[in-house]
Amino acid sequence: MKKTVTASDIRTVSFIIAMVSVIPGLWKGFQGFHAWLSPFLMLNSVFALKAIIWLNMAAVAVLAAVMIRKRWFCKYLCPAGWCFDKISSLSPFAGRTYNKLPHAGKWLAVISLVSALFGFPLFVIFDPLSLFNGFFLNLAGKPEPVVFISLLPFPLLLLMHFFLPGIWCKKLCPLGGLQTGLWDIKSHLSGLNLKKAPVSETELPGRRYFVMSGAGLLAGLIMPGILRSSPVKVIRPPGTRDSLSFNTLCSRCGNCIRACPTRIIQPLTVCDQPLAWMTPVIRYENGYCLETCNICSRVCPTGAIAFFPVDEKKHVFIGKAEISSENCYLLNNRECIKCREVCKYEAISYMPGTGTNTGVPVADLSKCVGCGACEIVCPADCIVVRPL
Amino acid sequence: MKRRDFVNRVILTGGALSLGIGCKSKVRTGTGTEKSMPVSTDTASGRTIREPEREIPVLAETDVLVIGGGPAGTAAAIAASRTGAETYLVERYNHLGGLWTGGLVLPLLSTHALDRHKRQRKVIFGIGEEMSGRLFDLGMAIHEVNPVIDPEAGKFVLDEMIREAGVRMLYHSWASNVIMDGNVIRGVFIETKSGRMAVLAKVVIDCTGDGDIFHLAGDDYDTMNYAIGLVHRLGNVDRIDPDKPGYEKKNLGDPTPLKGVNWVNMWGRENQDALDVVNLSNLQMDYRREIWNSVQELRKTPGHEEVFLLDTASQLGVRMSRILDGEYRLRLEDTMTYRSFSDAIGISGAWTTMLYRGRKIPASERPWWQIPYRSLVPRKTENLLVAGRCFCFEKELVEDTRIIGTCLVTGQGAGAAAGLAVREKVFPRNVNVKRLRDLLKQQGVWMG
Repeated sequence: MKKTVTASDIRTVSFIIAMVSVIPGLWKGFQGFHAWLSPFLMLNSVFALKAIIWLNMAAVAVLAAVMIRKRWFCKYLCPAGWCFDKISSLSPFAGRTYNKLPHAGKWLAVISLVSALFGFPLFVIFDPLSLFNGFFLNLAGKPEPVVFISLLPFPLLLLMHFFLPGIWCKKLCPLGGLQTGLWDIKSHLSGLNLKKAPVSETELPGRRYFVMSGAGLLAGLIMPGILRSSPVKVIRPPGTRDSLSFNTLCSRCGNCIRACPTRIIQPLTVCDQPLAWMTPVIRYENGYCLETCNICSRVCPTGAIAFFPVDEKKHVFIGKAEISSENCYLLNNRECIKCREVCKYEAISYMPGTGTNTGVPVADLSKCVGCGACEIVCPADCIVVRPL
Repeated sequence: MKRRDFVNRVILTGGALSLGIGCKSKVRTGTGTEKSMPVSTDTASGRTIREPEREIPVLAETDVLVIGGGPAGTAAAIAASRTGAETYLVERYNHLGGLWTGGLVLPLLSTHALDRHKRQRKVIFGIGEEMSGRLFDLGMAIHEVNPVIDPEAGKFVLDEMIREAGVRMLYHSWASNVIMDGNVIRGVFIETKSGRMAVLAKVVIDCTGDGDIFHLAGDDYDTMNYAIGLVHRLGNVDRIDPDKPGYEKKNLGDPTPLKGVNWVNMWGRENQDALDVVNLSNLQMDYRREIWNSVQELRKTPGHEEVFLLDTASQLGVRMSRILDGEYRLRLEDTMTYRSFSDAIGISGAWTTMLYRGRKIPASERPWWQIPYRSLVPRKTENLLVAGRCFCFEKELVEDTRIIGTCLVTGQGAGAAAGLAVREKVFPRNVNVKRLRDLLKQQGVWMG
């Protein structure tokens, strides 16, 4: 009996790897690695940031493969597609077609990429790998109902496939749409050259591309205004350079949240900031931002958290310590110099006090990066790290 | 007559030089085998004189000699004596207990910690437990966790326990130098009212807190500058009248077993060199003045008229000075992970919140931690053990190693090991750790 490895076998392996890679704290830098393979996320990131890093090469390779074989990624790698197909195969409505529906995924991709050129990619959150990775945020940290509800889209999509098999991959997926679009353009171009392919296949709906690009352009111009109207005052993970574009650049894949060794990165769930919903923010409850760690910047597939080397950590500012010394132990001559002891950046010193008093702690804000070590260690709760 | 002339001349020259000369330089530690005690005090132009050779009477030849009668030294002497070894205990002041009693640092930290089942439990047993138990029986200790004792009761109880254990006590005696035979310590010179004398011993235990003995013996160590304070007690705090017009709440320290008496801690000035006698003297005078002024200020506050300064501590609250470079350096990680040592001599508790691997470990969730015997053994000198705040550990651990409870545990461990070494006629370094642990268990130490 001859065994052949089919595309679906490879995709099953890919799915298993994807499942392992979303286990919080495991695999360190490979946390949620599949998001790096998405050409859709990569193009949005590159267009928005006008920068490329070596990890983007994974998606560039996928992009090349997609140009050779139609929707190669979907067939060989996509863990989300694997899930959807499994559910679809259980569906009693197998074989349903959606010819009348527009190919929404393609237009989402076009709008998103054009708006990305302005720095504000609109639809990265609909990337299937972000949806897939993001769902496993539930594994990290405290199980909060609000987080669980926010992560429902993925299970809802799964449920939807029971009634509408294959709808996501065929019509809705922007990553699939991107691949189809690219394939269309490629075959159109080759059709033009060879004059062989039938006209119906090679004709490009140029007007629609134009309209959708216009929509993306408009969105790219309007988004900054909308975002500026509700500025987000939170502590972001280190390396987050532009708070304005962060909300759209962040694909909510949750990689950083699951990768954080001290579990201080948590999804934002503040009602008055809908545009920043589920973006990563730092909350110092039981941990601080380690001076020897840059893992969140290494796992972010869109560059919303820009990569920085560990050596540069003392220049990566995320907040500033605010010390209110009324309750400080030192004022009452109690044994404590914890804040200075834990500060890895030598930002805390004691103001000369009167008489026998050592004096209260003060933070040198040119050195303080806002790592939060002093905040969590202070026994009198005197220190709070404020957003920049 | 001739000697007196000489001494006078030296004093005069020294005085004149220190008055007239601004340029000062640090003294190098003494040449040859003998090291001079003050290592960092500025002296006049770095000038030295040679002490004439002289014959020193030998006060005693003993099995175990414990230098320093603080919590560690007292526990060490009792533990050694209970193994049957003849034991001498040398103390520079007139009482035992060191900073715990005379230093007025009254709380016995830290008697409790989490066990492996994450339950808060008592971890300090053995001689430390006997001491606090007796003080509770006398009604002179309060609080179940980290008991606060009455200093005079503490001095009394420790004296009684030393008496019962049959330890020979030498009060008012200051160990001034070591007697070495190569890298083997044979005894210690002490300065007393009866003059300079020698005590020879098979094993010496350094419980000076500052590590004077291992320094003199030529062992390696780190130094650490830290804040130095001076504790005082207030009387009549129960007679404060909060209903008086103009009353405001003041920092009155914490209660002691005595009614109306509080002990008031002082964090003190930062980054002080505890090995510089001039610095210590200046601090002592400054602190006394500051305490006096602050209590006078307190008495002027409406409602506080009857509060008075009961006493200031008989010694400065030196938190840290020398840290031994021993056979094993206890690490922060060991104290956070229930690390088991095959040569553990006891367990101590933790009382401050710490950060470990980026996570906060609140004081109430800190695990107990074992102290290995190797951390009490210096690398070079034979027949010497170290107990108290200067044993070998990482600086991150200083808050948990410099406290009374840890000193009691290391003291008992060193004492029992010294007794065993004498009994088995081996260097303390080579003591059979299994038998040592059995011995400590017989003495009531809890090993986890």
